[in-house]
Amino acid sequence: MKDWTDLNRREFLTALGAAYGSAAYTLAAPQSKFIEYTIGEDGAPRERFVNALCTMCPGGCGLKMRVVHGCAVGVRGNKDHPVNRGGLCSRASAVLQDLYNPDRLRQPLRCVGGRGSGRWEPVDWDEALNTVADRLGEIRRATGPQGLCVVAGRDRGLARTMWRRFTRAYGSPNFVDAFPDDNLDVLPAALATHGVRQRFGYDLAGAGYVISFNSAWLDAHWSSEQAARAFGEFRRGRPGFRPKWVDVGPRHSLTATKSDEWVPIRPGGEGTLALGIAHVMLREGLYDRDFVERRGYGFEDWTDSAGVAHLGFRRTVLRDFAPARVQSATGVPEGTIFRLAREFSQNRPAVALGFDGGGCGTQATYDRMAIHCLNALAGSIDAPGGVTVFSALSLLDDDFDVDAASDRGLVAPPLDGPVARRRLRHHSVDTLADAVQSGRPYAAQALFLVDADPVFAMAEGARLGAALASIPFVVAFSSYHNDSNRHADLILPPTHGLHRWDFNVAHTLKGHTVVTVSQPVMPAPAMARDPYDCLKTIAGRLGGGIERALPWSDAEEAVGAVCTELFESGKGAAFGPANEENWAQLLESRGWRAPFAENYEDFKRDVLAGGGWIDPIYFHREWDRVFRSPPQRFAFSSAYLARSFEAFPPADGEGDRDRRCLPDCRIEKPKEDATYPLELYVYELPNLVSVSSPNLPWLNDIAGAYMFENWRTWVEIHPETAEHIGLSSQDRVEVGTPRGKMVLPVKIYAGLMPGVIAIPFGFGHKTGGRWCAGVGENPADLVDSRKDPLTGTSLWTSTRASVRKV
Amino acid sequence: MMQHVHTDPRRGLPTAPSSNIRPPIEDIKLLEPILYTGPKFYITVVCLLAVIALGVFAYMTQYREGLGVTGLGRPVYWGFYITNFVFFIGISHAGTLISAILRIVGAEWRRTITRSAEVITVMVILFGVGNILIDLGRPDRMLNVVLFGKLRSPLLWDVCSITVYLTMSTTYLYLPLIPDIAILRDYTTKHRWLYRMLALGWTGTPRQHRVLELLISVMAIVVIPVAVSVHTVVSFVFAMTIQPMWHSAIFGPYFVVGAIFSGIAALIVAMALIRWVYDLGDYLKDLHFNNLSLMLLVMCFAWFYFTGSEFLTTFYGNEPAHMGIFWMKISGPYAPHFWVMVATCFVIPVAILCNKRTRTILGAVIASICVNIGMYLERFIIVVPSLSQPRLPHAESIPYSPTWVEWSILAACFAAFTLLYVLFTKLFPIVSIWEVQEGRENSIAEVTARLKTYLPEPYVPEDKEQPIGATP
Amino acid sequence: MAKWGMVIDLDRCTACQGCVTACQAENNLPPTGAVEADRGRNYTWMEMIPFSGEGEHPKPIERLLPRPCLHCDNPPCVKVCPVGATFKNEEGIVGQIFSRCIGCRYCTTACPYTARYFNWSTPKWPAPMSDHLNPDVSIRPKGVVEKCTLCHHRLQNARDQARAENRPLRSGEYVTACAEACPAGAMVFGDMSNPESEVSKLAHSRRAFKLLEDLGTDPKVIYLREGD
Repeated sequence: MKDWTDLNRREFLTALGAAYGSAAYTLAAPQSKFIEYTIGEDGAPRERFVNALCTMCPGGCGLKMRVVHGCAVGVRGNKDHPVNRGGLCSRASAVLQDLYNPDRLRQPLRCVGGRGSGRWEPVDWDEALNTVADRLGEIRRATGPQGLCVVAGRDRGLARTMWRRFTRAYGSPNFVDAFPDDNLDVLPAALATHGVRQRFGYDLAGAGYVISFNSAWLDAHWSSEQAARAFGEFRRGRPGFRPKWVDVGPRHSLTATKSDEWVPIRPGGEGTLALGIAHVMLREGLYDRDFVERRGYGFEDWTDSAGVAHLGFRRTVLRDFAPARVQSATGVPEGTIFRLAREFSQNRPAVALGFDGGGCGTQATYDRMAIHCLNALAGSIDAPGGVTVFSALSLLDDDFDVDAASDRGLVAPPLDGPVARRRLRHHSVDTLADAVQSGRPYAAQALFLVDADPVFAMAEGARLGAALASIPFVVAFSSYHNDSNRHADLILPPTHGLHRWDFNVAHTLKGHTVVTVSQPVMPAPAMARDPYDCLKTIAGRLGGGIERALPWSDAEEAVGAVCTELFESGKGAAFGPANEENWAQLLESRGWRAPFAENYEDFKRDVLAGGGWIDPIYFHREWDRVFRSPPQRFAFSSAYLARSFEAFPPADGEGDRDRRCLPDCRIEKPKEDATYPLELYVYELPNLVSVSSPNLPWLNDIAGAYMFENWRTWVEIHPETAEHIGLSSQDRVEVGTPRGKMVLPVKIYAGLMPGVIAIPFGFGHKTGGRWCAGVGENPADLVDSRKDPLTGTSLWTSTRASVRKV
Repeated sequence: MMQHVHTDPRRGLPTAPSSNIRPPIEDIKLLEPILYTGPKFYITVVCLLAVIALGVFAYMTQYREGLGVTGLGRPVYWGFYITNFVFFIGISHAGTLISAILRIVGAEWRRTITRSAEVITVMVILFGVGNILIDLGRPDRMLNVVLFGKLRSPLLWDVCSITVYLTMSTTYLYLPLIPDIAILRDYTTKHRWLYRMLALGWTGTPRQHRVLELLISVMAIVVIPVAVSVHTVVSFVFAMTIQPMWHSAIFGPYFVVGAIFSGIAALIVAMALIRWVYDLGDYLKDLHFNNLSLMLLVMCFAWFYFTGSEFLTTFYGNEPAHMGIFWMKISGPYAPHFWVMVATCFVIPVAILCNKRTRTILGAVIASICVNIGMYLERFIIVVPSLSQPRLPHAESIPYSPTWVEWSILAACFAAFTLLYVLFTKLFPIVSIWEVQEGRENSIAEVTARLKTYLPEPYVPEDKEQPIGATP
Repeated sequence: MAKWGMVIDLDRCTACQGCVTACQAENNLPPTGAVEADRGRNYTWMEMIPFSGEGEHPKPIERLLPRPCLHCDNPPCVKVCPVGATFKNEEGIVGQIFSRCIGCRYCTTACPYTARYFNWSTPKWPAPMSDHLNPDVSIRPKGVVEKCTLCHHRLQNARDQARAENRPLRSGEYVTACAEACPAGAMVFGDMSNPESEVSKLAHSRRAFKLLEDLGTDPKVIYLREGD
């Protein structure tokens, strides 16, 4: 594989170091060294750059890996890649530490000494895969395929697609997402307002004003690269024009630090404040009448065809969300609400962020809907500089026939959720624990953890960990030891993403669909096995329809199939230096014919050479793309929710159904509580929340850097609160909540709402590699989560807490 | 043992080969440490060697593992070793400078104390330099200082100045030692080869005496500016940077004063020890301690004056970066060090030494030990606080505290210094014999004569018969 | 003669710290752990520095500032080095000769920006981590001082490339790893001596300031402040 040994390599480094040292001093470049080094004896270059997909987060950035002598030794951004345009976030550069991490698992492990004991022995790949396949076959025959539950972590691209196909072909309805850094909690709100099941983009580069409702735009965006670039463009992309950014949140976050104004608010009050702002806009007539009248639904009161009168958005907001009331609920002064409303409506295109932000599941669906209504009132929906809605693209769709057993399994109710979830087609792992523990509606027979660590990343994590013990067969497909797979029978580590063929569908904030195609940067280590090969081996042993669901002989062929689908779509083109704006002009001038590759071979070559494919065409205000379910309008009052309430009636009876279709934000004034006088707010540390990140020392090092903290978990306490309790920054305190206790060092921080304490989420893994396990504490163990009334998802905000000096 | 010596004072003294060198019969007590060695000596040496061995082990650990075994880190890159360096170089001012000044002004009481002072200088410089070498990350590249030396660096100034100082101090110690070595050569039997070699053929002729006296007085004059320069340059290591509370023009004289201050204190302690161990009460008298105590008292006030000006200037200027350090010292994490320093460098010694009743030998020793502790703390809070709060904000790491390695090396430095000092006293008389002899023989007359020159001629009436006041 | 420098626009900067890890990966900075970090012994040639708020209505964090070595035109570190292991070359780069440094750490104490790092022990990359080491950059032994070199090896490579192709160095061919990685486009690197270059235009912007300017170190890394 490598054409020099480690020893040679080290010698070479030393020699070069010396050369650098002396050269640096004499200021003469050692050219011969360079030439010798870059060109091999055969005259071929020893250094090359390979396009790859960044594996560190779901953002889908394109990398150019620098490969020298068969070893990846450097990371650069792919300058032609529309997602990152050559930029690299902190995680992207750390991909090398992930690739070569000494704690990465490289061969299958079997648990010995009982599950949870943490003792493992290596097993042969074939043996491990046969065990899994045999067990799956047994379960399918004995109790039915619905007994399998697949918990999929961050992995998107090929592996995820294949796991979806496999799970469906096997006949299990239990394909559950557990993405700590992807924030899919946004999907129900998107369904409710637009009838689409996807995130939105925010074209900040063209925005004239941003109000960010605890969006964590710079702390925890799903595509941190794009978030950073958009922020840069927003700030200084337009000479002479520097728009304002207001950040609202209970804590002075990284985003707040970079904003022009920070508005402190009680945890969970974002939606209420948004409606307070909407109130002022409505009362003062500051909203976009044209958009609201032509594209809004449920804005005014209306009477349906059956003659039933319904409550509209306007009347509700004017009635319930007067700034004075909002002030008493959220702690935001009335005057600020008026000012924000006026600024927001006078600096168009204005964007309200927070719909897809928050990290740590901070926003309830109703809050997201309320925030998004501000975008509608400002007329920013699918407008330049406003909210963009990508056209959906699904590749290698699971549109294949399944056998009869699978058909029966697929109609079983999913394990991960009560009615509320099904109503919004929302999957989330955090109610799984209940189902597993209770054995209702049926017992889970096998649970697969695919690159997921829900035990760590969920408020219900500890409970899920206990529940896992009752599942007869748990298999983890993950690269590191973590808090979840310590409960597994088997760990089957996949090869690193840079060793394999892969693809990824992503979107730019401007709304373009991007497919990244990634090829192996270097050969995988001898022991490793490609995850597609593993799955195919299992499927092959199970046979029948399951085997047919994975028809491609290997991952390369599957990626080839992706290219075929893209080629056959007849749209878009391989990445090139041209940017999207020029594309539209180019297409116009050519009579809407793309300079498209002549044949498939050329197309594939271009896609591989460029690193991927983009559909560069995006026209604003294509309403059938933006609003995809009836009534094809922006839902101030959600028709989608109304229909779902018809299909799945709420458990507590009828209630005020109209009210439930509107953004029903309620935040009560805090009650006096002698035992737990404070509110605990948990926020996500930048860079650290994903499956591999906590194992990387570089990322641990910088995670708390903007707070001058690293490698530990701390509790932030407002100076007033600290003074009241008599704390200084050298103290340690015991933070208590109804869920548990934790001793943490104190950080006095003025960037909090008084009465609120904050703990960062990211450290505190109990199991993991040498840089991961035992570093800090996990605040998820303290969170007494509320349930989102619409989806049942855990909300981490506002746990009552107490602080005691130790 | 002492009894035994008194009964047979001439044991071990051979007959004199040359007549110019007088046998040290009157001062035979001064040769006792050289002639007789008791078990106490061996116990002391073994104890000291044990401490030194610990220090050597600590250094070996540091050499193997790197400076990571110390408590240093970013931003406190300098700690104990640099403090030791400054402290030891400071102590070194005890000897040469004090002795030179006393010689130049012709203070006759100097005769019995100059040697012990000069020895301190030579021995202690070695440890000052040694601590710099211990502090190096790459001691193996030490010679780069010679190969690639850059004279613009204050560290190079230090290297030059300390080298000159060490050479001159050694010479200055050696020159007055020659006649005593000749005495040892001629009247003792131990290590004769050594004494013969070191005596450089001294026969005590008047010409040799003239040359020696000349050389000593020239050295005494030249060594003073060198000594002053050494500590000034040590202060420049700090003062030439732009770091807050280092970048100060007063640092040169401040360090020199501090050096003389701690030097005198060290000398008092050393003399008291010699007096106690070798029973030299006849030579190191209350008068010596009283005089040195008064010098120490003067330096107390000088030190207080400089410290006061330094802190007042900073406080009055009120520059944020400087004030950060200022408050760290006055009321922050280094306040204990600071206030103990003020107490031990000023309050306690002044209280003891101002009062004639407490200005005894014991009082002087207590004051001196206090001063040395205080001066070590002073060096420490010059080095560390300025580093621990750099101009740019920095992450709060564990505050600097020395590890066992640094403590061991510090202890070993003191032990090794003591050992060298003890060994010196076992090889050479710690009180200059010939100078005492010379004092007895010549100086009383000389001083009487000189005193006469200070005074006006007494009035002698022309007519002795005429009573004063009588009118002719 | 070129004068290399960088402009960091704090208004664009999002404090994502992409520059920090890009630098670590490019320059073979060793991994450290909690113990080292506690002692201030982690290596971040590029470091994100938070400034806490002052004044009447302070923001809890006033400013986040990425700080590489500022490559002062009047570098306090170069003056004090007793062996000339740190030097400023004609193109303004303040370099460090790792093989000559004696580890006295005078430069680290003299630098007002605390931008210099010392190897407290032999850096370790547990296998197979050493495979990712950049072959262009030497690994430092224990006991020497290291710092940002402005990715000087990239300049050498670019020069050699240009020389091999028999042409002058093009602008933009030599960029530091941090500036190349910056997703927000906040870092602009280039030749300060060329008045036409973007970097020198930005350096003369109204918003430009130098860090601790009153010390007279005259850094060649220039910041643009937030706001209009």
